[in-house]
Amino acid sequence: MLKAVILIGGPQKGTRFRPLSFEVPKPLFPVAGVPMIQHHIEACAQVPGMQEILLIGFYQPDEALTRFLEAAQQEFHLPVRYLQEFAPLGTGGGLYHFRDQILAGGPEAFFVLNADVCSDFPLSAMLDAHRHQPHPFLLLGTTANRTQSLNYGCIVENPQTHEVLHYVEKPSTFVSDVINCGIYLFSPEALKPLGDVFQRNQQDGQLCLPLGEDSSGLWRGAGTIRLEQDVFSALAGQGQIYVYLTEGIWSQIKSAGSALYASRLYLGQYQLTHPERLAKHTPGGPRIRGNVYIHPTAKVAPSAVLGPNVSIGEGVTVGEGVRLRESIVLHGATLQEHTCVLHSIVGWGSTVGRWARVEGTPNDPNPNDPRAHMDSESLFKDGKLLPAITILGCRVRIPAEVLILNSIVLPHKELSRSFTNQIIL
Amino acid sequence: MKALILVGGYGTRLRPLTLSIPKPLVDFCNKPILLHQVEALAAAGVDHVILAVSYMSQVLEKEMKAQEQRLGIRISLSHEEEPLGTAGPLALARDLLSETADPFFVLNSDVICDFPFQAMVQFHQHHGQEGSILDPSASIGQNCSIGPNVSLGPGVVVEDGVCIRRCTVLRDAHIRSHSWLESCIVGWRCRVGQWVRMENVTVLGEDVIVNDELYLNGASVLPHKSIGESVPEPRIIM
Repeated sequence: MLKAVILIGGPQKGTRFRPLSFEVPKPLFPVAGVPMIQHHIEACAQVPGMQEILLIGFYQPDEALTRFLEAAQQEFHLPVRYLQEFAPLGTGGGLYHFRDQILAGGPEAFFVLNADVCSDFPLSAMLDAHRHQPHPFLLLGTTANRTQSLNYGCIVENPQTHEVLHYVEKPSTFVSDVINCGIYLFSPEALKPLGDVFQRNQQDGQLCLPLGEDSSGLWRGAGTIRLEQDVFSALAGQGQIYVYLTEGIWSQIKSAGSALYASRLYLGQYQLTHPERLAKHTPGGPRIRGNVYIHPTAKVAPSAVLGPNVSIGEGVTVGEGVRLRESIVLHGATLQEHTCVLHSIVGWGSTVGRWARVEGTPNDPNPNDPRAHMDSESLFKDGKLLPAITILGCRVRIPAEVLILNSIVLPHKELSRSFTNQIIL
Repeated sequence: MKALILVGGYGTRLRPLTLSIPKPLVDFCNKPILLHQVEALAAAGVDHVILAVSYMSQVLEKEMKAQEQRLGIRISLSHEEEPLGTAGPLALARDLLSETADPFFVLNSDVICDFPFQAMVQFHQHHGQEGSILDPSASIGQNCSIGPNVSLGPGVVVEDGVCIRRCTVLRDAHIRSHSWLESCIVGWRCRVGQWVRMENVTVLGEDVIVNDELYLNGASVLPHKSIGESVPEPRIIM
């Protein structure tokens, strides 16, 4: 019997996902047409013996989350429960805090997945590797190029045994080109070292200390455990932590730009896993190029040209002669005639006027480098806004014939002119 | 009466258009600047126009000889081998000018004055196009929005769903569907792709191709160039 835990974080996390995260918790943001964590749940539900899925985080349960949980249970015929932390407990604290719930029923092992990753989730392969040689911790790893590896958790492995010899989270100089995917398989024994860390933190009087070594400088209260620094780094090289390498798709989803990139990866996967989700050109329908998802309730004019990498949400209206490429259009938005939307996210209920052009700049990994991943994405450089995906928040109104280029428009804004390289409050 | 029109110079500030033809022949509301002037002079009683030329003089000569017949006036060329400034050409043409004792007009070729505007106003009213001039051989698709202040030259093709404001589109240019143009000059035989946005005095020289879905902001594009990338900030494309 197996279980899965999905770490969904909370409102303090995911600030790089603003303004999209103002409307919906980031784990529920639609990527390739379905909520981010639905991809995780679908993958977990396919592992034979999966008994229960637990979501751990510190969001206040709201209507969106509750509805999602109900729908997921119905669709996958599995209990899907949300366990809310009383305070942000770090990537490991929630696991330790809810250990009784996780271990209830005596699972052989449990998967732990970060919500904000995009992956093909090779869970069965990880399970096979684990059963072949059980260890407390099995990490899913992938390769990155040397410069980009610095943005991730780096793993030095024994190439024969695949034991993790060293683990460094976001090192300042090159350590390894194997990086941590944020997808793990733990045996019940893994919770003991977590308990040791917890006890140690309690003794150190965590409450009073500002965090010297923590590079993020965040205040940490009692009960917080960081899996990466407190467990993986500490236990590396002691025969407890092993890594399983994958060549499959993988990306972090930290910002709108990476959500678009993840959308593209998942839409590509749909060719194999969910071909029914990909739109096809039909007589009297719009022209489709590459991989496109269109919600069944969306209305798209026949003279529109869509794709590649386009996701169109529920109830969206796409007018005559619209060009839509490398973009996500969220629930209820309207694109009027002759608009051109490229590398953008159009927020829920927004309207883009006739002949307007909404365009962003992609920061995708180098397609010629199979090990390239998204760079660490900051908004500004040298005081100037870096060109990035254009985001229209919820209910934004763009007038006819203007240009919105490399800009972020906050929710409910009605614009009256063109903007370039700006955040519009 | 006679008139001397100073037509020397390379018209460098009207590049890239003047890389293809001399400035006096650049269409202004579908008629070369020079012709606006010569017609106005003929209407004022001039029967002999002398053009003081230097750059691309053969092209000019050919064009203006054709007009001689039509307007019923005599057109001569006085050719500067080297730039003579603004008074030098007068001296060079002295023989022609002193054939009679009458006073003569002297004009700079790039000055537009009241006469052409009056003619244009009458033309607009006649055509009712809100300040737009559409050559009869230009064709416009469905669901377009053309105007105000647009001139489309002979043989221009504008496909469906195109919006054009305050632009000049020269002979035989082709604007593909759903594009949006404001304050631009599109040169002879250019091909502008679908869903292109051009604004802010973008000037395309002769025979320029702009690929689909690009954005041109104040781009000055030299003739025969293919544009494959957006130009988000004003610059010159050689």
